[in-house]
Amino acid sequence: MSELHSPFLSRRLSVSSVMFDVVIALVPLAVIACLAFGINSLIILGVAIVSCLLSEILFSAILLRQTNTWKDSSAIVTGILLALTLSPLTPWYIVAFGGVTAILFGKVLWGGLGRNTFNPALVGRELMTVFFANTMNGTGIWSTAKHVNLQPTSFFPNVAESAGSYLNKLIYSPQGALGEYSILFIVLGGLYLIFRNRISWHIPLAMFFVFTQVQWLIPDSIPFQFALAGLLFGVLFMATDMPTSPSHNSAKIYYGVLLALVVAILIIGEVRYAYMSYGILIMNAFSRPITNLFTPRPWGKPSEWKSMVKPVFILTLSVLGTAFAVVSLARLELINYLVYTYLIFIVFEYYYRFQYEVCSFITSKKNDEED
Amino acid sequence: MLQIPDYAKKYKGQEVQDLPDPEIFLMPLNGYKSLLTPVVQEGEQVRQYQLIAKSGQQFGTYLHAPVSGTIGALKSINESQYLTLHNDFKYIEQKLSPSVPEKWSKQELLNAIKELGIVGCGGARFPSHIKFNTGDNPVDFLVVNGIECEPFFSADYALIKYHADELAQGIKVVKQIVSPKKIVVAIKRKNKELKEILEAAFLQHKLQAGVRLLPNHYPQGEEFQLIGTITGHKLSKGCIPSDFGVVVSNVATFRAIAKAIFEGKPNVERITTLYNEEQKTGANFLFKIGTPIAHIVEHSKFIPQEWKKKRLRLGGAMMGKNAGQQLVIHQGTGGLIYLVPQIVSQTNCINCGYCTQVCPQYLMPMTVIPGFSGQKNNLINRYNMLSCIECAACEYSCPSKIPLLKYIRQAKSILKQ
Repeated sequence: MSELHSPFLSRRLSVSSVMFDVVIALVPLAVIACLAFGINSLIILGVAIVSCLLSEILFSAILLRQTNTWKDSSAIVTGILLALTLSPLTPWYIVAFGGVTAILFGKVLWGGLGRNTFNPALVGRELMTVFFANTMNGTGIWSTAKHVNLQPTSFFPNVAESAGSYLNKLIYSPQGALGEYSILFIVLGGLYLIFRNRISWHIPLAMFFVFTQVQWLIPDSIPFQFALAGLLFGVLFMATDMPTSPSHNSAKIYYGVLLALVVAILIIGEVRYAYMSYGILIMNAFSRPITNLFTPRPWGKPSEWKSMVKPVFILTLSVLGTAFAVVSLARLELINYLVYTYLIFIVFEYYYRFQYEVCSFITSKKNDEED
Repeated sequence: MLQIPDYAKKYKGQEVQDLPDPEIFLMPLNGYKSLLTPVVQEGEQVRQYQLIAKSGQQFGTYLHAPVSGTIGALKSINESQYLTLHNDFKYIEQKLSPSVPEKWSKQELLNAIKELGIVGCGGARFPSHIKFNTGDNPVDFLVVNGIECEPFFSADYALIKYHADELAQGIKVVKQIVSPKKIVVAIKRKNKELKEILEAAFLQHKLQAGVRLLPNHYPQGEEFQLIGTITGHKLSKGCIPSDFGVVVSNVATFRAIAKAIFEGKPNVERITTLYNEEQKTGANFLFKIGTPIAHIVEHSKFIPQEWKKKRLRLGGAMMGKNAGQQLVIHQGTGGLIYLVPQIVSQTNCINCGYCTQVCPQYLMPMTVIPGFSGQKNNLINRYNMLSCIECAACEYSCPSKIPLLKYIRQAKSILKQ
């Protein structure tokens, strides 16, 4: 917006209101997590949000010379998302570490909100798993059954037992990470975001369609009954994250399809616990090439799909190849080195490139205001 | 697709008001890709409706005196040429020659349209005698554009409501020229009360024409969007619609044609909306071409006396110009809008894709942002940027408040080199 050129009218919508809608969609899940594990969940959520907010304020001020970025509530979204992917028994200092690294290595070093390639919450989560491998991957942290505050109850006393217990599990089933206890509220949150046009249906629907096809091709390959909540949470709240996913419909569908294939490869390759976060992170890396490849056809221009066949084929091969590479690294327990490489890469990029691009962007902003 | 709230709801149905004429008219000599040359001398007495300027260029048109008076000096303001005309308030009329067009040939009608200064009233002022001269191309659709998608505008609404009769007559004349298979009047769905008024007028004039209610999207009234919705043909930017059997023109143009042919009056006035966002009030006024903005500000209650040029927009909040760049009402000025400045702060692009969702041309406006996620030159997308029609829907819907249109114009000027 500038005083000198059209348009002179703007929709009353800001980045913070977009982010706040995501917070609204996530609040029911956080409430259910608190009901299920009481004070444990509350501490994890609180520590994650506070550490994200504080590190956003601190690192943005130091590294990006911006002091008001915390107001866009994206740090709160990152904090809640990070907390909801954790076990309720995660020690608070590890959560704080995750929050700080999520903001620093996932967002600020990239140049701030919108410029990051990877989902910050997942970056934070993977750094936690690498640097606190014993705690995070131990079986102790995931055996949560005896800590449950609110036991699952029967919501449908009149329905036959097998169907009733299945329906009960959809509404409330305290297993897995904090955000995965209620499939019903995950879906409702996703529907709210779709209704508010904050995410679109393309990625989730494409992904689930392909998933069912994989299930049909390779029977019993995907343990839906265990993984549904995690898959839904990942695909509705993580894979649709605006900065790290494609921005128009055809690219989103392709992205969803490949996400399903990558996650299926990871599941079949027996990457436990982390298949959804690895899958989304792999796809995040290819989000920009996918966006650029699947540009929408301008109004009235002829379709150029024939010239797209080769680049799409190559891109698909590289995505699937990456998935297999990650499976091999996980099998060989070499994922750590991948994460170390990422850390070196992002610090390098910040030092030689991103910090200058950020600075020039800020000055161009100031020039606009002076016009 | 982008929906903009109906700001004009309260006042769009009100009667068209009049303002006293100004003492000095500034007649705009810059037409569509042409510059008119005066055919009268400085100091010469002219009658109302007398020809004062014309151009022999390809897109040349004719300009007539809106009132009687004395011709003043030629002025050049902001790289635009104006001819001053001092109003004598006597309204001595030129002898008019109303006609019965049924007996006229196609060429005679086109000449009359040209000589009476009819140009497209939608904004670009494309000469109507060129638009309606479809040559040997058969015309399937004659589309009468009553969409008016600029927010705050209601001039076309008022025109249809109060002058549907003249509109029908104008359509009949154009029908005689282009002999279309079908005539479609397009209006927005939210203005569906106009449908009955139009149909009654068509019945009275024995005109076979359909009224289509179209979605309230922005920019539905843009020529190629309209053609796409009505005929299903998606024409790319730069096509000539008559090559595809479609002729589109604004409702105000048809009314001007009716006045020109049946009454002999040249195109010297138009209905224009005034709106003040501070008071949230607006109204439609009948202005003569060449009425200076300063005069309108002084005499209408709508714009404060201590107006700031930066906040006054001519020709729409989305696609219009600053009142500092254009000083007078011309044939294409649909509205004059006084806006409250919005205090916005620009942030990083978050790649939300809203600009792509609302883009009527299916482009990716975010790719022109400097430093968009590290990529500086995305040549494919920049290439497509030449298809941009600058409707500003992207910038309107940007949550990061990025001046997308400014960057698109920069990218276009780089590409055109």
